[in-house]
Amino acid sequence: MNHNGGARNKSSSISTPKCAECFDKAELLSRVAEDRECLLDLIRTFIEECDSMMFDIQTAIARSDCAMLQRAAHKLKGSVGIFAAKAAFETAFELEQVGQSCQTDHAQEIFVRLETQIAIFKRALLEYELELCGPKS
Amino acid sequence: MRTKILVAEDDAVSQRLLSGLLAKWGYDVLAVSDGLEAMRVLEREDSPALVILDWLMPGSDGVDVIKQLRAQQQPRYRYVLLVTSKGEKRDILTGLDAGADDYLTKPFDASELNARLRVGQRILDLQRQLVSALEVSEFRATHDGLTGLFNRSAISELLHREVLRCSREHQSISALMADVDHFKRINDTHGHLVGDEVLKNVSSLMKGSLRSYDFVGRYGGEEFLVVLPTCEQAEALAVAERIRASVADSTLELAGLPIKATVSLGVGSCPCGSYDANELVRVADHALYKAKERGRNRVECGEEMTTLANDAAAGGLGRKAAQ
Repeated sequence: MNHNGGARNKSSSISTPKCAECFDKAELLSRVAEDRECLLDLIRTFIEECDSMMFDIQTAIARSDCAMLQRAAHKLKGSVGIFAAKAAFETAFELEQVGQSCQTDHAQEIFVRLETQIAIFKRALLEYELELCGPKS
Repeated sequence: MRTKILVAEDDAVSQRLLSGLLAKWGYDVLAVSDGLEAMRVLEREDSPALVILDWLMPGSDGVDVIKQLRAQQQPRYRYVLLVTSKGEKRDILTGLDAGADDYLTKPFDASELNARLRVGQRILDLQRQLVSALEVSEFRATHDGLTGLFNRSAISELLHREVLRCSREHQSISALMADVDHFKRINDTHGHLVGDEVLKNVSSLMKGSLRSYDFVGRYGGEEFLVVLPTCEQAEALAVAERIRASVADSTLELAGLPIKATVSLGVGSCPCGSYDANELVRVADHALYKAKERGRNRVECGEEMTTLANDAAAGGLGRKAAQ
C-alpha cells in the first residue's frame, strides 16, 4: 500500500505533506457512510488517543522492544488508515515493519518524520472538525 | 428486535467507527477492547451470535479467540468476521483456517462491511431454521401426533432406560398399562373424530395425574403405557386409581353431546429392580387383561403381586367403580 510514491526514502521535510493533502476527506466520508456525527466522534476519539499511541511507539523505540513497536505502530496505522491519511499511514507501516524485522537502526529517524506528519494531520483534523460543526452562533 | 453484535477491537478509533456504523444499521453493539474479554463474553449463553474480531489485540488475539470458540463446540453457532489490516493471502488463509467465517481488510468500505454482515445474518437465520426443523423432526420421531404423548418406541426406550437405572440404584419401578374401555363402541357410535377427542382427553387426564418425573406414552390404538420410576406397588396402585377416577369423572362435551369414557389399568411392579422391562410390561398387560375381564373401569395388579393387590383392593382399590 505505498500511496506516497517512495516518500519513505526522502527526508522528512520533503515527505511531510501540506494540510490539504494529508488526508482524503471524500474517502473518509465514504468510510463513515456519510455520517457527520460518526465522523465528528472519530475525529475527537483520534485527537484523544493520538498522543498515547505516539507515546507507546516512542517508548518501544527507546526500549528497543520490537514486538511492542510492531503492535503500537500497527495500532496507529489502523487509526490513521480510517482517515485515509496516506503519508502517516505509510510511515506507521514503515515503523511496524521495523518492529517486525527488528532492524531498529533508523527507527528514531522514521519516528521523527511520523511526529511531524501526525502534528500536521491533527491540525488539519481540528480545522475539519470546526468546518463540520459550522460557524458558532 | 435488534440483532446483537460483539465487536472486539483494541484501537479506539476503529472501535468507535464500527460501533457507530453498526448502531446506525440497527445492531445492538457490545464492544470490548481485548481478546480475553471477547472470550469471556462469548462463553456466556446470551452472547451475540454475530461477532467482529480484530486480529491483533492485547491479551488473546483474534485468531486465538476463534480457535478457542470453535474448540468449545457450543450449541449456538457464532458467525465470526475477522477485520484486520493483515491483508496478505497467507493471512487470510490463516484466519479462515482458524475458523473465521469471513474476512475484511482495514481500512474497510462501510457498505461492504454492511453487506458482509447481512450475509452473516442470513447464515445465522438459516442455521436457526435448521436447528428448529431438527427439533421438530426429533419431536415427531418420538411423539404421537394425536395426543402429543411419547410414541410406542420412545416410551419403550424410556422404560428400558428407567428399569436399568432403578435396578442399578436398587430402586423399585412400576409400570401401568391402560386401555380405554369399549373404545370401538365410541368410534362406532360417535365417529372417529369423537374417538380422537376421547383419546386426547384421556391423555391429558393421565398426564395430569402423574409426577413430574413419570412418563406416559401411547402404546397402541387406545392403549397407554405409564412408567413410574422409584415407585413401589402401593404408590403405583394409587396413581392408577387416580387416573381411573379422573377419566371416569370427566365428561367430554362435543357438539352439545356429553361423552363419557372409562379406562382399565393393570399395574406391574418390581420392588428389587430384578425384572427386565419386557417382563414388567408383560405383568402390567396381564393385569390389564384381568381388569377388563372383571368388568372394566378398574385397576388390577400383576399376577406376581396378587396378594398385595388384594390387600390394596380391600383398602378401596381394585374394585369395580359404580357407573
